[in-house]
Amino acid sequence: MSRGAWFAMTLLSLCAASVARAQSRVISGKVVNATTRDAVPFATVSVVGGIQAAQGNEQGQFRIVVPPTVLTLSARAIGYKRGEVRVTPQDSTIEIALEQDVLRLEAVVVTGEATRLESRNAPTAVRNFTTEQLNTVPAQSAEQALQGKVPGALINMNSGAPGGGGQIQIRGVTTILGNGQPLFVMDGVIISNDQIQSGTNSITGAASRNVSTGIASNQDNGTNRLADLLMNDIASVQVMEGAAASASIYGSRATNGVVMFNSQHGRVGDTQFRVTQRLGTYDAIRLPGERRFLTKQDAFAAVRANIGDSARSQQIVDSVYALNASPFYDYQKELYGQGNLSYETTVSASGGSQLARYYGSALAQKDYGTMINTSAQRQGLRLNADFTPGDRLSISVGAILIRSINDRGLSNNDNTFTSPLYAFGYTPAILDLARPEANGNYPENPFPAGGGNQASNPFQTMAYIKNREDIWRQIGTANLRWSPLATGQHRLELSVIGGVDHFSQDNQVYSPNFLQYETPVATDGFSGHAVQGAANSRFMNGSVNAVWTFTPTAVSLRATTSLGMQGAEQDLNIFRIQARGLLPGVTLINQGTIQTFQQRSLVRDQAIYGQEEVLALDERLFVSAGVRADRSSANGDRSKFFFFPKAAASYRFLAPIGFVDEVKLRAAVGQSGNRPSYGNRDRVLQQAGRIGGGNGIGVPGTIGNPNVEPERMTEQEYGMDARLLGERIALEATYFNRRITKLLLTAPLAPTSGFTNQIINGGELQSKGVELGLTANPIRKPQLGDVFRATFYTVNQTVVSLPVPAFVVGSSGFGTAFGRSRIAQGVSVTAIWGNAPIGPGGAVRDTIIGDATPDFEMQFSNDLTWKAFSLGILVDWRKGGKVSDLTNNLFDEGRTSRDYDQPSPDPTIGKTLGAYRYNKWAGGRDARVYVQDGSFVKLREVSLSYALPQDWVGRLFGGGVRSARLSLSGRNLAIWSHYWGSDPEVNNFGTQNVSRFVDLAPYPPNRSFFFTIDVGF
Amino acid sequence: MARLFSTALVAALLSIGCHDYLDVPPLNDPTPGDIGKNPITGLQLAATGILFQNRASYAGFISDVGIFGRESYNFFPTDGRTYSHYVEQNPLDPAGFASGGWNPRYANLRNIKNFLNAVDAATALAPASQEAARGFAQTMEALELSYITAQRHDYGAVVQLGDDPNQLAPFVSRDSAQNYIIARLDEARTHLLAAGTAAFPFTLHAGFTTNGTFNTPATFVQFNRAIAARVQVWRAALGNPACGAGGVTCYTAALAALGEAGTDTTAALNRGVYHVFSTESGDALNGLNQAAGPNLFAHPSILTDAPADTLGQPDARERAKIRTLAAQRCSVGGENVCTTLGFQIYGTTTSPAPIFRNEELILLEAEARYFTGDAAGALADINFIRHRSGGLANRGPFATAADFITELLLQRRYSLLWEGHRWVDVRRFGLIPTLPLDVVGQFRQVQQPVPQAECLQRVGATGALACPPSVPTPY
Repeated sequence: MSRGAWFAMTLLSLCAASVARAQSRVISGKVVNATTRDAVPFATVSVVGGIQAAQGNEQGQFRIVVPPTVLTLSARAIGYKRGEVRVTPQDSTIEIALEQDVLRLEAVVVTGEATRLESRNAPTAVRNFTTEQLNTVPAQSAEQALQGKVPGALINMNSGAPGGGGQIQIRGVTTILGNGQPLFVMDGVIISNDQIQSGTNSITGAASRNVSTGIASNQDNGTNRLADLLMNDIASVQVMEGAAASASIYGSRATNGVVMFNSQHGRVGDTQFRVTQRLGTYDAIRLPGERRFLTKQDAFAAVRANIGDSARSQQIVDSVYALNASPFYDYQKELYGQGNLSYETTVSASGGSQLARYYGSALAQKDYGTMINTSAQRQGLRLNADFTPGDRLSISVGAILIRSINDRGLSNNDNTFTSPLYAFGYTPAILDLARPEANGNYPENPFPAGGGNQASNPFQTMAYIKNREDIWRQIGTANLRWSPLATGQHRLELSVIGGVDHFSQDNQVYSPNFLQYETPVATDGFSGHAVQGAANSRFMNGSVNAVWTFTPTAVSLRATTSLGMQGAEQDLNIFRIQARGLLPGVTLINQGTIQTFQQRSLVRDQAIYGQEEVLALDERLFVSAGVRADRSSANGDRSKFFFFPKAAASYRFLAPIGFVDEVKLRAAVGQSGNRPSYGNRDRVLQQAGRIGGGNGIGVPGTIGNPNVEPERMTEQEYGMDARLLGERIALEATYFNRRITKLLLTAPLAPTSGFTNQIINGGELQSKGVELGLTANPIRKPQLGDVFRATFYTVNQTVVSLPVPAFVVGSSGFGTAFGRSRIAQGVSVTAIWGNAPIGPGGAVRDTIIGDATPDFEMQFSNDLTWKAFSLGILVDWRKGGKVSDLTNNLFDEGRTSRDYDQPSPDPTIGKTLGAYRYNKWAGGRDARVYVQDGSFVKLREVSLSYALPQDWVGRLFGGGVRSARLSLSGRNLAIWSHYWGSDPEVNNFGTQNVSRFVDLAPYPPNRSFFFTIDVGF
Repeated sequence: MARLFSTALVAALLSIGCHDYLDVPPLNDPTPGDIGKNPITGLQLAATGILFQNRASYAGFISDVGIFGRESYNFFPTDGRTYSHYVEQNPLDPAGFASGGWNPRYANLRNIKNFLNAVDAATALAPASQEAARGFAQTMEALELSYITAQRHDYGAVVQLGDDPNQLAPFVSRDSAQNYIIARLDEARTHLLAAGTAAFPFTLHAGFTTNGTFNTPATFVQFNRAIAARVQVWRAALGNPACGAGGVTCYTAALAALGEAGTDTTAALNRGVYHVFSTESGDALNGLNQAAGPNLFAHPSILTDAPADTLGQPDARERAKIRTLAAQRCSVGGENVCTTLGFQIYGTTTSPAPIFRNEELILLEAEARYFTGDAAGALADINFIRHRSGGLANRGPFATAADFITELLLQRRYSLLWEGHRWVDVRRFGLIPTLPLDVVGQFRQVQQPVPQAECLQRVGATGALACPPSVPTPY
């Protein structure tokens, strides 16, 4: 842009400002609810076609400076539809009445880095959620708060460990071996959702712990850092599901969907405080349970199976039965029965003037896990400040400081018998292990293998070990908007948006050397283990944007042209030190035999985008088109731009037939990318390791690809939204069809080449799906209201082509014996492959034995309000989706499964149900036995709340208190499922693209009950 | 404001203009370019890497062939498949527990190929040093292949890696693989001898000097010949056509190799080349030590089959290598198979483990002597081992070849206990059915399957490129 243009623009802007100042007048007024005539707080009032705007206060009152002409004022507030009032030059006080927007038609959706659109015009499915929808029932993490609410997304918690850990997968599998996580954005800042593993592998040995890469493993049940978000500060969340919605904003990082969090902002008025106190508790949804032996003979058989030594087994059983004819100890109920009181306290303050507003909040939270000695603590501070020094300039800055401390205990797979549920699988529940003996020592668990360092007593383990992650996180956001030009027809807005997300994570794992499995030495030859881990992550991104809005007076049209540039950087440095053979009582890593590990990654991205949006024909037609060009340091060719175009349109038919208020047809097509991971492009050698004091190098397992480029998704989305019967009913139907080409594959090579894999781009994946929604508002009275919502989601995913032979996905399960993922052309990408004796003469074949993707998911919610009461219920129904239930196998192998003695379907295979299952599985010859149906119905959320009448509030809390609300809420209160394990949602390997189906001794998922008191003053 | 925005715009445009910003180097691993800057250091790193990688397969190999040869068990307490996958499946599952010993060995063959290319390119090296380096690498190549053929036997092996990793390399038969190993060892020997008195252009670790000295080209050739003698004897017994009638050609060659290898009844039985271990970060422990490999146990037949020594107690080798467990240990899942015996061969988690020892050479010599007509020499060697190593009385002359084989296998079994030999030995004499079964219904396997990961890459390939399928054992 030339200096002349800048000058002209600056001059223009000065003129316009001086005109407004010279001839302005003040209008004051009130925004009210059209039905109840109550005040609508915090509305935004603006001049239609002008730039003047003001904020209402809590009483609905506002003051706005406007030109002296006839004009239209519009008001909007969250939860209400936009309302307009015509103002004559004589009016100085007015009232604007707003209709409630029960069906949420007018929520604002983001369409670009700096552009917004009302959802009634949106060309793609809208997935917006308000703080009420997310925060009414306390959640351990953002994923949990979104569970059961987002059609098109499968959201699962990896386990029930306090502190979170979950996965969001939007519209099916988008990548096989690339990054499959959505992009998470907070107020315009891309935030990290990395999962830094803790290092419990040094205790559990789930993967080899004798190498430096095995200090930690992906079976450590780590927490992904989305868990740090303070949900009470979130005003709304928008989930952009596809390329059609998000391509021009996030281009090569948008394929997996984008989840945008928008935080609370200050509101005009006196400072208002809000205090929320929550008290509650967690317990296990359900536990696998233990076998009660029917006879001493059964007990002996089980004991002998786990110890082997008949004489020793007989002695154990005899000594137990001499004292107790029916011994049974409910280990799981005791270990997973911590039940301490959890709390969450939040205080927020909001206020300010038209010139400067602020929102500040503080949070202190402690959730006690169900397992003894596990908990999650979080403390957070946030400050958002918004400045509007004039009509043309606005500045928003935000700062967040978060500390998370999670004690997550041990869980998941192990090879040392230390993961509690794993150990219980092989421990017949006839010994009292939970209570220390008179000398203060916990009893030694002789199971399995006769005890010693081959076994553990989980009660002792969990009383003394430490697995703590301690995170400090800072997020800073800034948003500067300036309108150098604003006339009736033209408005130019320039903006700079950006920020930083930094966290440092400290992991401490300690297993003292007096524990059973450490004595005299653990199974790796050392006694006493500690890991000290650290991670430093820094994400930065920024953009410069120009948005020109043209609103010609002659025709009903609004055209918005945006151009901009973005830059981003992600830097992660992880290092760990493992110490083994520690001195007694010492946790310092310098006092043992050490192994060290370090890994870094650094990715930088740049993009240029342009977008044109046109709203025409009385806001009935919306058309947009855009393109974005991306390049990245992660691509093979760093200077090459990859282009991602999109186009979308929607048209609203107003009252097309009798009972239909409006029908909107929409279509969108777009491309997005998924850029390679750090290092995919590099051809390197790698450290082989050390021998004889010397350092050695060798070939890496995976060959990098200097030509690697982003995966490319082309998405078509078609939909229809309708409002019927005077907005009593809203219907939504969306169909999507995505084709992902140039798949990033870690394609296997024949091992005889000397390599295991190579990075390639190739092949094609297709997902097609349907999302349906029905919202009904059958009752709409001042004192009684009811909103019912049902959604449906299904997705069908196929590997259309594969340029390499079918291959097994690494870390995707436990081999053919239990099922794992294989990628093969022409079949579902989430198919589970395993052994089944279906060949001639019962020969074993490696075949498809199930699919991890559910057939469909349906969600039902109902919100009933009656006077000051409101009752909300959310039910989540998932049909199908197989799970590899290794937990069941552990308990059957140890002959301790709760249903072991149930009748056998075929006594020739096994005399009882447990024996039948185990024998039919036959060491993995028939993996189908333990690949089980994961269908469930869950009562996700229930909340009952009561807003205290105003006179009670005054009497109870004094005059300064404005409002008080009491609520009772519960999450995951019930599960109905035939699944054998605790919960089909869990996954031993945490977040996985295609192979999220391994249940192996997880931390049992929990349910929660909370009582909340919420006071505003 | 205008100034601020124009500055931001200019900064953004500048950053788009210059893409140096996007040049991020590999931060975690060295590149070939980094290594190439100092070829001598590079060779040292690569040589150490080859030795490291060779060691990576050692404990798994011993444990695998130990289970197949009914010397040992792997009783992992919570996963019965560490045992059942070896003895209860027929055919063996190519994706199961018994399919190891493949990928790491071929990765090392790739390392060795790269190493040889680097040596050829290292013009800064004196020709003698280059020859020494070639001799080292080719010996290591043959050693890796010898383990592959020990485990895959009749399935054959891929012996030569192509330049392009995407190009499938052909399988060759067992006989061809063993012939290739011998040829490679002979070639390596020629290079080592050509090096003369020059030193290796890199340092070999202490495993080459702890028991004897093998760390110069002139002494390393003894290591080379020891492996050559081992493979000559294998292929002779297996009736490889290259060995002529009765395997005499190969046995004769073995005798020559054993002479060069320094076979010596006056030297320590443990004289040889060893893997070394340490607790240093990045290093490894000896996985066969009882603390580092706590689920590995000894087969009860080791005690029951042990010959009595002159004092009437079990063979001294049994007593030295076998311990009695505090409590018996059993398999999990299915029928319990139990043992009260463990190993105590490696005293600490960092005890060195042999690649070859003088004791093996003497037994190889006995075998080669017998089958080249020197029964007396064979008897002398056997009696030396019986007395020196086992504390047994001397025995009389061999009545028949079968008698010799029985005696040889017994001495090899106890002298080389859990060093990876018994299964290979009974197999090459066609005596797999003599191995005991713990439980009726188990199987005696002849070879380990080629892993599924290999076969999946060869689906549809034909001829030598096809993957040998896992076949059932008749035993």
